[in-house]
Amino acid sequence: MLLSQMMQCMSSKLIFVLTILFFSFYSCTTTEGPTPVCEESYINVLAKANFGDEPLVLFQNYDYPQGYKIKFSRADFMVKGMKLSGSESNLSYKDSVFVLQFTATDLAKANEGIKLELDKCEGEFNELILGIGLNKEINAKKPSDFPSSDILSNSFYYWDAWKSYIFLKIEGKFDKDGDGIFEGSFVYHIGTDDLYRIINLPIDLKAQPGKSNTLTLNFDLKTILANGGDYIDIPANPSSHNPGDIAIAKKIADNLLVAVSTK
Amino acid sequence: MRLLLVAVFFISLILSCKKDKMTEICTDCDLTGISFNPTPYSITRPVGFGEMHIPADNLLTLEGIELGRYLFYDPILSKDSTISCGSCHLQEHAFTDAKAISPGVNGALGNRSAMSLFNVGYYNTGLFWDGRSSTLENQALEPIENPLEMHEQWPNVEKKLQRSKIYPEMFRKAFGIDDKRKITKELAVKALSQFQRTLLSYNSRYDQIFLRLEGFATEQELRGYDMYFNTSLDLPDAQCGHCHNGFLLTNNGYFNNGMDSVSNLLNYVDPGRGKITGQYFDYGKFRAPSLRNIGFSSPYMHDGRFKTIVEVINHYNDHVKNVTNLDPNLAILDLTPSQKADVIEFLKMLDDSSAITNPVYSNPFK
Repeated sequence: MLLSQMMQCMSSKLIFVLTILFFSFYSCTTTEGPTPVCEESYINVLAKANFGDEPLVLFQNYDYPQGYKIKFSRADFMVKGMKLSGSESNLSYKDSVFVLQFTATDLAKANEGIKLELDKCEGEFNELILGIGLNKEINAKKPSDFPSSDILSNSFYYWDAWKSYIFLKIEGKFDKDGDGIFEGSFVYHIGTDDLYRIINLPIDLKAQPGKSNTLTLNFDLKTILANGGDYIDIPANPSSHNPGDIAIAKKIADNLLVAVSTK
Repeated sequence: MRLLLVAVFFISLILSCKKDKMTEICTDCDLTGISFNPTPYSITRPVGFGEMHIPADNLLTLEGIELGRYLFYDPILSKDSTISCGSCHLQEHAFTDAKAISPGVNGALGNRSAMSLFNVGYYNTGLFWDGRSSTLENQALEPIENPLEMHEQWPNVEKKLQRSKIYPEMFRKAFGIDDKRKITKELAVKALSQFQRTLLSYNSRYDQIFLRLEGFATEQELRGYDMYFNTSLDLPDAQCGHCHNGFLLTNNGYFNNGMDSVSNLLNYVDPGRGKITGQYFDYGKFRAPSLRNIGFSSPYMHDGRFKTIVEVINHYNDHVKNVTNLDPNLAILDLTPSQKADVIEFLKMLDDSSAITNPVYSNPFK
């Protein structure tokens, strides 16, 4: 028995030695393959949120056109079908539906933005197209229609009372009397088929391998809430989720068409 | 490079002279005489529920689920064999324990209340009150070694399971191991996870009336529903449905619900989600739990501070503290007493007595 165990141990060690020797020689060789055409130079869409000219930093104070300060705690946008369109080809983002969550709580992060990498590095495109929300075919579904691994399975972005997904969430607080205490909250959520908005933005992108091909996509929350000075009276209308009262939600949806832009 | 490899080789040679656990002589370790023919199990999707994600490396089998059930209720997983998973997650309390803070081995107290496990297989944004575990398999590793819970070490648990009269055969049947020394913590948590994925609750009056469209709610329940989900212009928004919605009655998010007033979020006694993300504005946030079986799962909140649903409603009605990261959906409600009663009547619809008595989920040692 003892002899058998020793033999077994010795043969294991022999295999180990041979393996080590094989890898020691193999590791000295070099391998060179073809250089990927798009290495580190994909087309990128850099999504950024701002409030007017200022980058959006959550929990930071901003001057609201109605004459008081507000601050944001959430700015989420559900995006569908983002693609670059050109005369010869289209280029779609990998996820047909995704949520842009602007979560920066400091200026550096806000300036970084959210990088959306498209799997191509060349082509000529003249339009960036994206939907905010979901088309009616998808919006007719509900979270239970999706496997729990799918983003649309999450009821965080579904509002039962609307029977609709939530297309955007803009939340925060206001300090109407200017005493430094943000005494009130606002919660602007929009949804339902009628408020799905498709945004077409003209661009002039001639992407080439090896070049920085980055488009900046801006979401201006000041324009969303107060387009051209036509502001939402936040203290009077601090929410938009009652299905019987969609005036605020519709205004926000319409403002999206001018609040989302490229640089 | 070669010098390094030679050094590694010699160190390995020396180490290899130690006895390997699996080369020790063991006369009763061979399990190959026991058949391994696991029976696949698929979860029947309740009406109104989604499809549960099952990890490809831990598909459900009847044998795995049964093993998980035994492990769940077996106190040998704890240091002094006094505490099992089921000690803090009792079926009759919707897999909570009716205590504000759950006691561990030797009565050690942590700082949080046991969460309900019904429908836990659907949770896809983290487990525990702070969401620190991403999967059930990862989650199940933790309580065993937590000194405030089971206070044991996994190597000891593995040895206890290997020496057991029942478990080697059950592990063989569930996972096909050929030697009882191959019982590991990884397999144990797989089995525990399989069992927990079967813990479904889907037969409340809410399910019957609003998801299966069988029967009718009372007028009072409907008023409560309207306030819960803010579906009526004539009734106030009770603000429940923002965080407790969908078929799980939770949106799986993390929120500060204004229970304590602090001038600096870092001053929270329990940092909650903030400790996990490291983000200042996540301090004081906790998972929004499912409200299913709320009538069976008192006390409430992450620290169990509220003994009754009435106390919870009163908190949200007019006791919410306006802290920096308070969820904006929460504001003073000013519900009348009768409106509060309507909301509570609706909440009672979320209780599923069939789930808390389902023998399939019960303790096999009783």
